[in-house]
Amino acid sequence: MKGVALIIQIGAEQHSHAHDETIQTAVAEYSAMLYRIAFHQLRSAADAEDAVQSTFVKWLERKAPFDSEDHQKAWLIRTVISRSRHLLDSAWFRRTVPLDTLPEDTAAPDPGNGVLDEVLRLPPKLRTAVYLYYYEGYKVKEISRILGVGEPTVQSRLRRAREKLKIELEDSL
Amino acid sequence: MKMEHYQQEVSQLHPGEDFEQRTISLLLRQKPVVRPIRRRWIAAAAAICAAAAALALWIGIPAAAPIHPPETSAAETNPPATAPAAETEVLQEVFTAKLRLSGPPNDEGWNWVYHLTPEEGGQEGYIEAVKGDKKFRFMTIFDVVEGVPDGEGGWDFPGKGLSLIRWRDDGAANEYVCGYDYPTYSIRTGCIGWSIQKHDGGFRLIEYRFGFIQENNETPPEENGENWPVAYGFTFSEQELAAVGIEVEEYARMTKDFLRYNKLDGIMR
Repeated sequence: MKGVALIIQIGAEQHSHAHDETIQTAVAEYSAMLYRIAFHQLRSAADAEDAVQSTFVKWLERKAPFDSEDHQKAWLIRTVISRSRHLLDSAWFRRTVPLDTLPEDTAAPDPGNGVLDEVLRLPPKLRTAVYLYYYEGYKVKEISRILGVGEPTVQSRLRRAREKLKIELEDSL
Repeated sequence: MKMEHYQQEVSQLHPGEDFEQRTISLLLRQKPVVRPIRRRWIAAAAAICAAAAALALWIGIPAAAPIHPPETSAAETNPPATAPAAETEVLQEVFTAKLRLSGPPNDEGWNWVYHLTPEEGGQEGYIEAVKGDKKFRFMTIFDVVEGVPDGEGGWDFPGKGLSLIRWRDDGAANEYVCGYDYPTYSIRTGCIGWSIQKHDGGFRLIEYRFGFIQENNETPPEENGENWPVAYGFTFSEQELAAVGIEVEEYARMTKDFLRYNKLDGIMR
């Protein structure tokens, strides 16, 4: 993956098979993770897919090379969160709240009724922290770097999420 | 234990079928455009030299003391910090959801039938929602534009600011693609959208509009001098929907399915 930016920078004349393979590798490696992050933000399968594709388009446009695979992964995570927020802030979302509140949403599959469902009820920032910590296995320090916030903020988000999840799970039992 | 459950549930989250392939196809269609940075630097250096020569002549430096251009260009001695960049052509909107217009109906059994021509649809064409023996005019079609080959394998739609650059042709189920214009979408102003249909060896763009249920049945506002229900003639009240045997919630879900699922399955710019 380290060759991604370099290959892209070579240009159209060498928009080569190697480039195609790089794209295929990146999509295969990261699309599921990015989808899960976007889904945590957007709670909609179709919107999460849009956010992931938008993220890959940004990735393709990026000119500066990545320092490492970890750097690239962190950049992709930040970008998919940003694209998801952008989508949430868009006129589309702001204006379609009445439809989104409808029961039995046939277009956006319900994620389920378990712990994930409880996590998805958290505020978006808490959801992301929970996902990165509990699913991706990132340390607080790493999450802090990825999200561009201080470590105390990450710790606070995780603490609040834990408190809220505990309460809501007890309520639902 | 709870977090173990969470991890198990999250691991079940996957994008839709063939999402990876659709994404790869999308990215491969991004056309890298290389600016000839090196040549630009050389041209800039040459221009600077020429300007300096002209200035020298103007201030009286003898022509016998020519200003020699550098043997190596500025680009070679002072290369840009980054390598020549490939700029990708940005697609304005990318929709890739599965098409359901001419495929199976939505989960509640609704399908949509296009009536494009005045002969088929009266003064204006329309899109009809059909479920068993229930049917009603769902949208108004107000323009149909034939696509013009763009010479690069795509199709332009004159006057619409849209081009089809790739058609994901995987069978009859993808007879249409659809999109909609985000900025014009509104619970108050309705929606202007478009579909693209294979037609006569090419493609044609079908532009449509529709309205939404009036919130709380309130009187819609006057907008742009036009009365809203007249301008967007398919804005339903609860009573009107009831007259054709449709629940408000069912209509709303149908509308949302149309917007969610009947999105683009080709690539536009």
